Amino acid sequence: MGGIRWLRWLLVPFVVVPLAWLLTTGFGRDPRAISSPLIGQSAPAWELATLDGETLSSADLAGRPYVINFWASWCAPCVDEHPVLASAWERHGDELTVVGVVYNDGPESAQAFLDRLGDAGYPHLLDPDGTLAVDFGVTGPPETFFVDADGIVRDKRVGPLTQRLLDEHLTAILPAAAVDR
Amino acid sequence: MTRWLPAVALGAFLALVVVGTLVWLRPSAPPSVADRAAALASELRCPDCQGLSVADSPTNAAREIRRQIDELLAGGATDAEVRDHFVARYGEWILLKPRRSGFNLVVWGFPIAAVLLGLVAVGVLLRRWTRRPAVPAAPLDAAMSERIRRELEREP
Repeated sequence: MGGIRWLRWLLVPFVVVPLAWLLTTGFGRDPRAISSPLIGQSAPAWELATLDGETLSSADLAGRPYVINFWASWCAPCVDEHPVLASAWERHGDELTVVGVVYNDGPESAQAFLDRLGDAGYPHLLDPDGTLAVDFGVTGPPETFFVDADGIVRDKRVGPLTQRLLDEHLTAILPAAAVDR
Repeated sequence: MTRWLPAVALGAFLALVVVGTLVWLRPSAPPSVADRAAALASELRCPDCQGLSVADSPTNAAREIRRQIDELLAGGATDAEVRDHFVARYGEWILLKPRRSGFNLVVWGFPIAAVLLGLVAVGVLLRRWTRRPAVPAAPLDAAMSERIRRELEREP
């Protein structure tokens, strides 16, 4: 009777082991920490109009780290994240620049969002065609990239930043002493 | 007249085969830039949709990616270069079909392995179910056949 019983043992290597491996690695991972091929690479160059009607380019920020945050007025988590970015701008405005990018949204509704939540004063780029979003590989707001003084993307966050997360990510582009300040 | 019919039919058949083969073997024209752009768009995942290709999506990002495909192809990029352009931004995630290399081979190989395993299992089961009984009926010993004979004789 032992003819097909040996087939049962194939279940272990072909079903049990892959499933166990998939579940352990899958649950052990932070789904928000989606790695980006851009990390370690030069950030895409950009030159776009801002919400204030001026023009800003990545060349203007050369030699200065910057945090670039894709957001939209229709994005609920962006509401919670807004004060965190505003405080980063207030605390670290001397060492870095915060840049917002209006993602899939019109200038009027974006301005209304800032009027409602308080405009911290950092620039917001208009990206009506989504060119910059595609260049950064953005899949949906909020998404934040941390670019160092040499223009290299050092870190990325998908999903809303909290104060603690922001400080963690800032260590990628600022000296630790500056982040704690 | 009817004598010629088979020959005519055979001739017509052969002519069809020759024409069919020529049409089939005819070198196809290289795909136009528009064809290539459409094919590439259908291979790329729309970043702000759920499970749609760039070709099937009306979103801003999909439109922008289609525009970039057109721009890259117009600049003389190959299909592979266009794919790499987007992989460099989004990672391999942007490809709807995983590349057939490295770890991805598991994804491509698993269905084949599963089918092979199933065939082996079916083969083994069929063999078991159709095999003749391994033990032949034990031959009657002399005493038993004598007893059967006696009992049959006693029947009315």
